[in-house]
Amino acid sequence: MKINDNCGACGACKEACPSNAIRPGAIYVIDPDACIECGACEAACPNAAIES
Amino acid sequence: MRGGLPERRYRKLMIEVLKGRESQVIQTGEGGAVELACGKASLAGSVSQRACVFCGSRVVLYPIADALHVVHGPIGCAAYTWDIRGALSSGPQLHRNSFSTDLQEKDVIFGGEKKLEAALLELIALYKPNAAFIYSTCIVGLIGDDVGAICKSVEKNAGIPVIPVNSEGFKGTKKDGYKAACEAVYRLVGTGDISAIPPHSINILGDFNLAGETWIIRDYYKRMGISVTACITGDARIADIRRCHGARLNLVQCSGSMTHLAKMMERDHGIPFKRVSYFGIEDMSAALYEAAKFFSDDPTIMDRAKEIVRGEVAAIYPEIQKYRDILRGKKAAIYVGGAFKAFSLVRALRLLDMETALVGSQTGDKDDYNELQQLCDPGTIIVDDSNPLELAKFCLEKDVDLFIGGVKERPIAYKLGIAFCDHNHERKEPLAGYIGMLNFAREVHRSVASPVWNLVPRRLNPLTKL
Repeated sequence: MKINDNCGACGACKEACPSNAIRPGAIYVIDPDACIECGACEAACPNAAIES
Repeated sequence: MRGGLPERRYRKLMIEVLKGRESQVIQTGEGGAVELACGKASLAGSVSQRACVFCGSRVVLYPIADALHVVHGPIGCAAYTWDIRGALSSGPQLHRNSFSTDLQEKDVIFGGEKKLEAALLELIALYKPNAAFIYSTCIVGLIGDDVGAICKSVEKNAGIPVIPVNSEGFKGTKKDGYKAACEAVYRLVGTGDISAIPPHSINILGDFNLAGETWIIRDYYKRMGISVTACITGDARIADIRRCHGARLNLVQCSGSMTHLAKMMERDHGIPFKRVSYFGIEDMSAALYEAAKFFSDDPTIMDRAKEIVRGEVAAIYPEIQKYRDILRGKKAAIYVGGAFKAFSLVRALRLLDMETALVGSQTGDKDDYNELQQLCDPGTIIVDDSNPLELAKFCLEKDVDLFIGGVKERPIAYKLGIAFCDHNHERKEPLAGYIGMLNFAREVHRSVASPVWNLVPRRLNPLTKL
């Protein structure tokens, strides 16, 4: 899964991630090694910035 | 006071540790990884939390439901391991009995072989099991009964495998008992017909079906399109174990007990093994993906794995987040049998925003402890083969809110006025899988959030220390 340019850096995805796989930044980044592809961030993102 | 140790090992520890145990206790985050001494016999007089070799074998083989389990020794060995785990069976319940030869003074002097043979023949005629495991205890090792020869002769008479388990209690640590159990089970492996086993099939090693957990895990794999040939030893049958060498992959959960068996199967049958864990969202998902990756010839397996993870996480996560807000910042102590379970618990507690103040195991090895040091936050105390006094003192010093352990740790926690979560043999609630993570969060929340802990002496009067 990936976060695209629509990211507003609100942190909702990081809060929602059960495997602590999201790192903050100007655009948040998903660590592919830690990601379990559960889609929790996708559901939490207000900007639809997360692509499967 | 603690001469001979690198300074950083104990600098912040206020409590006193027995001299012979200093090398088995460390605190993380003070310089690089420190080597923790482990895998050695318990210090005499330390009153270790470990059990004996026999008990190690007994708990590993206990869930094999259609086998006869005969304890060759004094009645105490059988009584204290009678129905010792909450391992459920979907069929026969023979494993819930503990049969014993009840060795007495006369047998110790003149030998217990005849008694064993008579007991075996009688029990096999009565219960018609598919195999029998004969456990040696300390006494048998000392008086020198030839258990192997008796097993051989009974096997010839009865026509079922009669397998000696070389688990004389004094011979080493609990880990040696696991090894003896693996060797006993391994005598069955490779004796069955494997022609009907489908290509995408695995063995689950080291899950003991406590509170029905094996069934939960089996269901996930079934939904992925992977068949489970045998689970060793949760809800196991002798016939499944005989044909488990037909599976393509071994997934080892309880690394302490079953790695030996996995290695033997890799050596003789060419079946690779992977270490997994079914506790917590991260590790459970990794276990499913690990199997899906192995069977990459069928990409639909990976798709189905992703679908399961999505669906299951979405179903449990909102409720877990609710508990997380309440549990945030609380401190926990973990003391369990195998180190791999400790990893999962540290991660699961992190998901609940709780801190791990103390973590320890009875049977961890060097690699386990190195990994644990990297996983834990700075300031965490790591112990190998601990004892009640140490655990109690560390709990008070770190002022923990929760203790996660087994039956032997429960009274320690309650006497100190600390909430307790059972993560061992006797648990009645499944803690594996996604539903297990939710159960775990519920249980931790129920215990930790109880107002009774504000009324215990250590909170009302903090000067009441050990």
